[in-house]
Amino acid sequence: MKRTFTTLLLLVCICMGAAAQANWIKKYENMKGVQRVFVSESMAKMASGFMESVIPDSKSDKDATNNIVKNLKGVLILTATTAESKKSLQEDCEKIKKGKEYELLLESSDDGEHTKIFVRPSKEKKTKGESHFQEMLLFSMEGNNTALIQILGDFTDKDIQALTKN
Amino acid sequence: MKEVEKRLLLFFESEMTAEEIATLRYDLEKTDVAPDYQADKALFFQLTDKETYEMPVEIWKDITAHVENLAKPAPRKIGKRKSTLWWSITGVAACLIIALGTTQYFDQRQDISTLYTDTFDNPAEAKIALNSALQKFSTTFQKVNLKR
Repeated sequence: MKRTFTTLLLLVCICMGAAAQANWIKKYENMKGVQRVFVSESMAKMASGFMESVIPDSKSDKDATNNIVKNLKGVLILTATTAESKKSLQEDCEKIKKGKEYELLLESSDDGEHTKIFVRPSKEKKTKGESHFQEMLLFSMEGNNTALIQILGDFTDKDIQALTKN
Repeated sequence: MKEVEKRLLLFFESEMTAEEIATLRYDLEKTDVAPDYQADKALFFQLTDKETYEMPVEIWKDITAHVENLAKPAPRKIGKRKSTLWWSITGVAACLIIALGTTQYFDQRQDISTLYTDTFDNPAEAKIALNSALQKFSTTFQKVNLKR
């Protein structure tokens, strides 16, 4: 009986821990020194046609961006303006890098600008020969500017590959 | 104390075999005992009188059946064990469902929190923010591609 109870308690703790991990971004909701910008799925669709201004000359890139916008659920941009909030974002970036929930897609350092892009594989959607992602994260640390861009939706590895092409 | 009286005491202490009892009965029939043991001697003869104390066959059968039942190994409580296992499994399953449900609930709450409410009312402004976000991704990818 004691063993069963301990097992159950452990299971509940693990699940609650997983939930807490998934909610890491929630702390920025009311954090001082963090500017928040969110564009929802419906607002993004209303602002359709913006892709042309991103990459106007390439049809394939336009398609890739179209795909991303079509499957977009929201874009969140957080900009840290205080030392405390910058530190918090940087710590979260390191935690995500060490954790298993996200995969580090690329890391770049250029002229003092450090950028990391993570993707979060989709748990629900799986297609043969394609990887699905439910989230893309971009951490950018450049001098005094530290920012996080979170794109939520359903993207495939092909969508991301197409976005990288010139 | 005579030797036969000592044996009579042994009889009342139930420490005699059937043969010893028979020998004692034979000896007591021939030997007299002290007045203190007269009552014991009379009781001994009453108890060992075959005609008076012969056990009825039906009672013997009942007693034998009862003793055999007691001698049988206790049946294993399989039903109860199965029932306990079943409760454990359903308990674990129920807890998992509750824990996963709670996790899902908190995930959904995260999605509807103020963190994920529209900043702009104007699609034109939203377009600029989206442009900026996607441009940032695109530029980073392109920079890495150029380096390679």
